[in-house]
Amino acid sequence: MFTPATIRRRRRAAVTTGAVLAVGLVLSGCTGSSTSSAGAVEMWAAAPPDQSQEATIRATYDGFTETHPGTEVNITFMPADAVADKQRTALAAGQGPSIVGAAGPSTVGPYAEAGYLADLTDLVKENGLDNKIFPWALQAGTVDGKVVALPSAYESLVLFYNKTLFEEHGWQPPTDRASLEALANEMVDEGVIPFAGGNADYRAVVEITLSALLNQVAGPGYIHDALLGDASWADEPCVESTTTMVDYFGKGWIGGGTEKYFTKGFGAVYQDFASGAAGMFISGSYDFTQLPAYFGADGNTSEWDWVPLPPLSDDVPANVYALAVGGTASVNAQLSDTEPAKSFLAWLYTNDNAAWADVAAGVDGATPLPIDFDPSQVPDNVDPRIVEHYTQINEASAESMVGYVTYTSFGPKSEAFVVTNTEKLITDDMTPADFCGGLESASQEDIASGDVPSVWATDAR
Amino acid sequence: MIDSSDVTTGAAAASNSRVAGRRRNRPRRSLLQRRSRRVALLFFLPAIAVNLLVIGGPAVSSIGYSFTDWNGISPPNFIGLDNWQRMLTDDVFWSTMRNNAVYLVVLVIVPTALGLLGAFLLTRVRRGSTVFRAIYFIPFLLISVVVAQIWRNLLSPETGIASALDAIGITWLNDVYFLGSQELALPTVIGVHVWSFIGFSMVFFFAAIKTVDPALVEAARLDGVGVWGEFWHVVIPGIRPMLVFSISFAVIAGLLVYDMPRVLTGGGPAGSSDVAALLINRTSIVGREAGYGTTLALTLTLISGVVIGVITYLRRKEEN
Repeated sequence: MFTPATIRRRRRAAVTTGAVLAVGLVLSGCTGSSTSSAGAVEMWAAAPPDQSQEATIRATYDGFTETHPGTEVNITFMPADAVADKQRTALAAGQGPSIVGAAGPSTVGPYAEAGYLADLTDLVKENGLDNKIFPWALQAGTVDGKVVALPSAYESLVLFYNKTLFEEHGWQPPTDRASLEALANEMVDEGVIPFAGGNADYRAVVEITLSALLNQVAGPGYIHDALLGDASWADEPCVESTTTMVDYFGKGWIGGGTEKYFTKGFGAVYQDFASGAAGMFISGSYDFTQLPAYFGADGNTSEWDWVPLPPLSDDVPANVYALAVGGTASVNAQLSDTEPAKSFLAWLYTNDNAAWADVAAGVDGATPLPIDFDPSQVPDNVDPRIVEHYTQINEASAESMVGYVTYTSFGPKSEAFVVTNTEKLITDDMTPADFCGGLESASQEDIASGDVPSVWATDAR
Repeated sequence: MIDSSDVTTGAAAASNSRVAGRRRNRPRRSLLQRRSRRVALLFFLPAIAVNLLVIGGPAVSSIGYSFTDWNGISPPNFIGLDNWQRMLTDDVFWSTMRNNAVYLVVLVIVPTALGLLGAFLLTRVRRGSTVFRAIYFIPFLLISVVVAQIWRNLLSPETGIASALDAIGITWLNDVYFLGSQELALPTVIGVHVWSFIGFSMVFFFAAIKTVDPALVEAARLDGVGVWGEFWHVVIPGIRPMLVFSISFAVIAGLLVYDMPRVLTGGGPAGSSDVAALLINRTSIVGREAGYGTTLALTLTLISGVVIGVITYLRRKEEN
């Protein structure tokens, strides 16, 4: 069934156009157009599943209109799937948004190439945003040396675990490959599926698992080099990562078996995890807002918690966060006056309260902006597990201990290859070596055509 | 000197005479008929204009895009026949076309056969045929994505029929993953589509059978041809145009299908139920290769056109 969670997960978990711009600004494309008045910032936003949250999202920007009395912020909500299509059509017609929302760095490049995005480099420098926005986030929106987009939604891959189940069995969250595999075997012996999983609602979700294993087995350093063509996907690290994934699926550790995995939608996955049928769950931090609907609801008294994904090889350091940029915000270069929109972005990215407002208000799927923040300034009603997560990303960003997620960092041909073929890996229709060889071919095409999204630096080697 | 104007005049006269002769052979249209024709044309004009604008224009531009590297956003660059050459050797595309072919064959044969049979039997039901028709037609009235979602829920191991049977101790569906098995996914998707399509075929054929001349049916019965003979020798020839239309409709549905596999399996597992329309969408949007995606779409359209053309040709040949 297309639950809000399904739609949201589909929106966030993949690269399909129009699906992934987050709630609030993230999901905001903007309407209006080059004809909009100079004192107005008009936005299109994907309607939140809960209509009452529209007012909450609008209220997020009250602080801006109070400090900029001459400028209006107008938001038009529309179905999530329609935002990107309408925006693309409007931009092509020379109209389009004052602030252009995009599904992530992979969409930013073509928009910039088409001349739709204004240069924000000066805006970033003048407002000190380069000291506020995480370096990797700025790099993600940089095309040909110019900042043209600011990430407005981000998440990382983490290992969720059913805390109550773990306490009952005396289990500890795994910290390396040996402890993870020992725990998985123990869980199987106890009749527990080690990792909840299923991709019936959206087939490309399997790339979450692939991304996790590439980061934890091959390592972010290798991914960085392969994305730039300095290493080959056909080499051993990729083959070992995919072999590990095939092995885990083959043992029934993910979703309880391949065929079960293929038939479970998001609801069934969350249910498995919350009920204790499954002990752990590899997913994005966007699920912070999904889990409360299953844990502690309908008589469920279990609790969840999370830890960083454990390194699965000696070459990968601990506490590495694979990052995904689920949405970006840019200024429409076709506006007669770009200043109101630029002022709006400057306000947004220098205002900690605005960055956390939607999260604090419980807006469905909201994430904070990728900016350095003071944890003590986060509103009290934000779940401390969420604060802890983003605080750790703060630290990881400062230390450049960051990794990559396929649907954000891969070029379009590589991503299409992953979406089409990852399932073939786990059904043994494709060998890991063939998969990695095919990925290398697709990657070379992306590199040759200049379609690889900006690759941020990492020290996680 | 020969007066060329006379020659011209003479030739023109001869020509006019021939034309007039042809005109005389045609029945002259009355003023009323001519007016009716003009009115009909006026009614057609909006539809023609809209079609030219929203179908003709994009169709022509699609041909152009198929020779470009257009990514759907940036300005396209001309790349000659590269996309077409790539399409010919694209294993994934031809793999989806094989699935489309299976889809097409089943969708042509099963709903047509069962629809015909059901409709024929319905004509022999004296009471309650309207109720039966309504029941059979309901699946076709539902939006295809709704049908697909209903079946997805029914076939879900956690919430569907298997779970319900398990609750009463029947466990033989417990390990059957209709939508998660590579072997079962495509047959299941096609089966759901057939289920939703049969009602349409049945009601459609029922209406067609009702138009068969009752005198022919009566004569056949007097000749003692039996039920099968009546069906084969009277009903089938009597509804042949409708039969051809229905088959053409099924062919198009089988080749261009998108929504059922999209909702039920997304083309998986591992591409086992993937169809061309899903691949085209994936190529154009995820792979950001709108130019190549357009090439695949045009190929699919071309194949559909050829198949429909062959059916139409065979029908006309038989009529002649």
